[in-house]
Amino acid sequence: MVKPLVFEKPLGVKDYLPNEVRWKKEVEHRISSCMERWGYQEIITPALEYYDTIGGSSNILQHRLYKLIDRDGKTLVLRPDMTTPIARVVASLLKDAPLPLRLCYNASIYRMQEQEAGKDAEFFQSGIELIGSDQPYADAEVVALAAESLLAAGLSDFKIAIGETAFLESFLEEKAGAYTDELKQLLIRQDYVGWKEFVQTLPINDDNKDCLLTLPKLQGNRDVIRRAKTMVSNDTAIDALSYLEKVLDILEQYDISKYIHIDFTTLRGHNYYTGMIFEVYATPVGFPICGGGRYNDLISEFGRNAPAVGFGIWIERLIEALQTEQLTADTYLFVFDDQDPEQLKSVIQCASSCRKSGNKVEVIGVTAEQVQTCIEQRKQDKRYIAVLGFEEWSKQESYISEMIKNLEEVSE
Amino acid sequence: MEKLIVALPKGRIMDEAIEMLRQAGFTLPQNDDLSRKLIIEDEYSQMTFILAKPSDVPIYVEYGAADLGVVGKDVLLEENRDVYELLDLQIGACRLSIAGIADAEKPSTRIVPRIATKFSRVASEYFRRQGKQVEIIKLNGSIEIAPLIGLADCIVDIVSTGRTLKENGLVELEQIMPITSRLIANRMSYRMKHADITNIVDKLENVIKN
Repeated sequence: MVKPLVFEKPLGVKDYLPNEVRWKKEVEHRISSCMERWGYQEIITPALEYYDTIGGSSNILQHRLYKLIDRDGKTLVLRPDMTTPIARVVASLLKDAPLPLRLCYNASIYRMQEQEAGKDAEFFQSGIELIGSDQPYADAEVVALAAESLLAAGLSDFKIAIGETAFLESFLEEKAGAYTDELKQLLIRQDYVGWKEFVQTLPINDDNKDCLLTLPKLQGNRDVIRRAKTMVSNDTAIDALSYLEKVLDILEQYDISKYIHIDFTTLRGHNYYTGMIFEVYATPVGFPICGGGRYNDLISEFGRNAPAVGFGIWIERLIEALQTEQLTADTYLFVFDDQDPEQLKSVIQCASSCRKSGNKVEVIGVTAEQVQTCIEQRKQDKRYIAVLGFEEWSKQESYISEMIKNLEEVSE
Repeated sequence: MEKLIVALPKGRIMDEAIEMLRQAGFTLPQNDDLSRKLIIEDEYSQMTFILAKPSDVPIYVEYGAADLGVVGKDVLLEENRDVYELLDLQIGACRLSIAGIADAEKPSTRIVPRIATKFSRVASEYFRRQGKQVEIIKLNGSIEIAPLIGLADCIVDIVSTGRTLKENGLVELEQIMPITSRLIANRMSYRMKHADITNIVDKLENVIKN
C-alpha cells in the first residue's frame, strides 16, 4: 500500500475554493428560492444511513455504495440519493403530517465511481419531492418546477426527455413477456443495436417484433404518444399514455412545452420509478443535469402508502452548463497601519458600525510603508466594492453613520 | 443544422467510415487531408471531424466532446462507456477470438492458463461466464508475440483474415463474438440535436440497406 501524500484526498472528492463556493451558493440560492416560491420546505437528513433501510431500496447502485461498519457491526452507507431518506422520514417522523407534503433539499450524495479517477464520488444535489398526490397535476408541477428552477439558475436552452415506465413495462410485457428484463437492460445500456439484434431473435410474431423495433424511434413531440397508443392493446399501457397526455396538457399551461422531448426508452438507473420519468440535458454537459419521476411504491416500503413524484438537480453539472456570471462586489476592505494604536482602535469602530448596517467589511493591518502597495494589490480582487486607507474609511464611517441616522429618522 | 462533432477512429475503420459517410451524401475533405490532421472542419456539411485513437472515441463521445462517434464493438465493450449505440454500420467486420500456438510441442504446465490481450475486460468477462479460471495479462500491442515466447498460453484478439495469426504460427481456437463498427452518440447530443442525429442515422441506414 502506498501511503497518501500529505495533501492527498480520497478519489472523487473535491475541495471548493471561496470563489467556487460563492458561485455554487448563488446557483443553489436561485434554485431553492424558486422551490420555496412553490411552497416547498427544506429538509435535512443525515449523510449516514443503515444499509438495510436505505441501501436496499436503490438496487442498481449496490456496487456504488460507500459502506461502513458501526460499533455494533451494522452496515452503514453514505446516502446514494435523497429520495429514499426522504421517503423514510415521510413514513416515520412525518407520518401524521397531512398530504400532500412538499419538501426540498440541498445536500451531498455519495456514489462510488467505477472508472476514471477524476470523476466525482460526492455530488451536490438540489431537488424536491411532492408526496401524496397521484394526480397528473403533481407530475406536471414537478416537471414545470424543474424547468423553472433551471431557468431561475440562469440556464436558457435545455431539453426535458420524458418517458413513462408504467407504459414501457406493460408494453414489453405485452410484446415479449418472457424477455422483459433483458429488453430493459438493453435500454438502460442505451444499446439500440443490441435491442434490434435481440428482438429479431425472439420467438414472437412479426407484429410484436415491429412494435418493439419501432419503440426507440418513438421520439419527439407529443404526437408520438398518439402513435404509441396504436401500438398497444393492454389497459395499463393505454392508461399510462392517457395519463401522460394529461400531464402534457397541464404543462402547456406552464408554457414549457418547447423544452419537452418524449422518449419512451428513457429509463433511469433506479428501479423505484413507477410512472412518468424524466431527464434534463443541456449543452455542453454530456450527462443529464437533472433527473426525476414518479415513484408510487417507495414510501410504502417504509410503511406509509403515499404516491410521490420528485426530481434532483446535479449542481456541478448545472454549473458547467451555465455561463459563469461575474458576481457583484460586496465587501469593503479597510487597510490600516498596524503600528499605529489609534488606527487600530478606529478601524475596529468604523468596521463594526459599517457591519451593523449590513455591509461586509474586512480589515488588513500592514506597516505604514506597505499601506499603499497593499491597497493597489487588493483592488485587483473583484469581490471588493472599495479598498480604503485610513483617511477614506474614517470618512466612510461618517458617511455610513449619516446614512444610518437618516434611516432611523425615516423609521421613527 | 447545428454543427455536429464526429469522432472517427484512426486506422483500419476510418477509410470505410469516410466512404460510407460520402455515400450517405455528406461532403468530406480529401482522404489525404484526413490522414494528416487531427481536427477537420467541414463547412459545407456542417460537421467537424476529430480523428482519434479508436479506444478514445467512446470517451470523447461519453463526455460530449464529440456528439457522434464511429467505433468497433470490441472497443465499445472494452471501454464500457455511457453512450447511445445507435447503428450497426456493418463495416470493419472481424471477430474477437481466442488463438494459440498451432502445434505446441509441450502442453502448458500452468494450472491457471495465462491469456494475453488488449481486451482485458471483455476477456475476463468471457472466461468468467464460461466458468474458467484464467490469468489475464493486459498488453498494448503485438499480442501475437506473447504465446511465442511463453509469456501466455493463449491470446484474445481481433481476427479479420487470420493472416497475422498464420504468419506467427498461431491458430484460431474459439470465436468469442463477431465484431462490426457502430455509430455511437452522446446522451445529451442525442436529445439536444435529435433531429440532426436522426437524419444522419436514417441516411446511413439507407446506405447499409443498399
